Amino acid sequence: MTQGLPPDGAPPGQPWWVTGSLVWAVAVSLVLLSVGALAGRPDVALLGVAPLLASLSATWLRPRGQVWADSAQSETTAGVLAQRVQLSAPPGCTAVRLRLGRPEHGFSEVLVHVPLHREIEVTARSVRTGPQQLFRVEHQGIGGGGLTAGPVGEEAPDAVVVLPRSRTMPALPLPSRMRGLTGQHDSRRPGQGGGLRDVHPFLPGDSIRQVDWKVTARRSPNLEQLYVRRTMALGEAAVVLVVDSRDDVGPDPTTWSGIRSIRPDDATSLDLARQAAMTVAEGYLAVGDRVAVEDLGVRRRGLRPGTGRRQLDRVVQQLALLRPEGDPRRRIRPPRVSAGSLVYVFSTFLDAEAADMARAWRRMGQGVIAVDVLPNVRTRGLDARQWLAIRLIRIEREDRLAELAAAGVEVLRWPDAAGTTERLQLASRRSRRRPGRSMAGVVHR
Amino acid sequence: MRLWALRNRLRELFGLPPVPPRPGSAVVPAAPRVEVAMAGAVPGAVVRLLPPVLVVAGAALSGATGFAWYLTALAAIAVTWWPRYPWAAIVVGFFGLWLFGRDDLLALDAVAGTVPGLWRMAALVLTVHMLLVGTALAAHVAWRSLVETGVLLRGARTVLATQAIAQSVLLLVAWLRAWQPVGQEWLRLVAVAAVVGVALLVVPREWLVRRPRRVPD
Repeated sequence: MTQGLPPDGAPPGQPWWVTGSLVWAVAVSLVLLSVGALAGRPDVALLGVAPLLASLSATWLRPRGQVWADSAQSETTAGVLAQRVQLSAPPGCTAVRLRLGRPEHGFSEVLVHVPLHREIEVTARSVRTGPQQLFRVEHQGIGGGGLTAGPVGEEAPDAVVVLPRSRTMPALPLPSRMRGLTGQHDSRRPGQGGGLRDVHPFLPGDSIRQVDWKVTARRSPNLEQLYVRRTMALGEAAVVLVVDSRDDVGPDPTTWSGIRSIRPDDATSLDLARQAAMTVAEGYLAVGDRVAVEDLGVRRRGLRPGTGRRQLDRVVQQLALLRPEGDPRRRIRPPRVSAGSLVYVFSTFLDAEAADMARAWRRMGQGVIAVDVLPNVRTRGLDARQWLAIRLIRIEREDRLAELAAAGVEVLRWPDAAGTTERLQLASRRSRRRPGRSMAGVVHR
Repeated sequence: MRLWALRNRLRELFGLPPVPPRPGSAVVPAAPRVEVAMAGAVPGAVVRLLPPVLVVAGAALSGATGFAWYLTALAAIAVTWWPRYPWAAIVVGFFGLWLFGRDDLLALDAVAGTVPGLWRMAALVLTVHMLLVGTALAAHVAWRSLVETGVLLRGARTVLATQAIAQSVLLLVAWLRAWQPVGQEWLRLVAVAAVVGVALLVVPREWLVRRPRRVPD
């Protein structure tokens, strides 16, 4: 915001300048009037009456000061960027010429009527998330039906952070080990609160409340032996979301160099990564699990593991602020994650670093899910060299992803929504399988 | 596919939103644009195309013939593509020239006692005024921009106020012609004096004063 509303009592400013058309109109009108008067031709003289009157009234009544534009509160959501622009024009202003634009959308020009004060709403459709710039506003007042014009003003664009929107995910896999003594999931340890582990003869230390009287009556009608129900302990899952923020590429490979801007209705890889990570975080935090966030693109410490609604807000904010920052050094070791965590790696896998990290975690015994967030690439309109380059990149990527799958990493492709949901549901059922249970959760007797 | 692209190109020229491609088509739809909420809008192309129409109308009303029509065509092109330049005022000057070269439009029909060219003159006065104002407005309008109807209505209100005076003067002249067909030389002298007076009174003083030379640093 470079300009605010004019303060009360501010000087009215310089009068607007007259255009060349007005000066010429006055000159031609006076010539016509003179010739008509001298030659006794009222028809010729009358031609100059209206232009002269219009020009002189525009000159005498030309406004002073300048048009003020101020950005009001913006209501930006994922999908639509919106901003309200307040305009104040001096008396006598016929119209305000506005030029509004963003680098991705280009500029739109309009001529609007401003009766002293007015608020107009500017919108633009965009699927992009994260730090975004709103609209640059250039404005100029026009008076006297276009015969006078005011100074040109400019408003710098406001910066906003567009939060990602999650997708619904019916089920998510669990890590092989649970942490803690509380949570929503059955742990592998015996304890309190979980599902049935077994029925066991009563031992010293067992509580009398654990005695299963039905089983005892069936197995020991004379009560020589009591039987107790032993249960599993509860635990919480620890999940680490590792987002590779080094790449932010769109579906059009010709924009990957960064020279051409990405279309605003094209979601980039980072938009998809934000959406995917938020979907996963929401799913785990909703059932009380712990979620942490790491960024492969920076050396800063990531978001520590946490749980609850506030942690979700922190995760969303952290994800929204991700963006490529310079040219980071290559990582030798993967970021530390706590033992027994389930690691999600969100990356385009256009280079080997994210895949190397995923394999390293897998070798350490962590459960790893690699989420490929490269958008569906549009190859239409590529020339032969570009097509060859994209083909080589594709071959390399496919090899990389195949190596990941061979190393025991679950590989998902996020743009394929149905496939990702299905794969995650299957992984979820596999992860909940316990010895003695089938895939459908039926206990084998 | 080309037809779809051409159609959208034309729609864009007139400020209309693009139509989506047919289902199953492989074309990529146009990128979204910045949209401004306005209370009714006219495409900028319409505003830009109004002055050439008025040029042709003015030429017809002022009695252009032969070579004058070539000049009219050139003037129409000029006001369409370069509305910032003072072509409209120059064209009005040509209208006056062509009018001067023909019989007086406000001449009295001695038999009927009326002024037969009155309506034509009234239309010409209106056309010339609209041409100047329309060109001045078109100078601020890009081909792909949108013009709110409120702007046009306000411009029309200003034109009407000025036209009320101009058309009243026209009726006064016609009435004077009908009232006293001959012996109006004194009126001519009054008109010349009035023009000089108007020129001295209404033109801003700074336009008539030579600007002082800038002192070199």
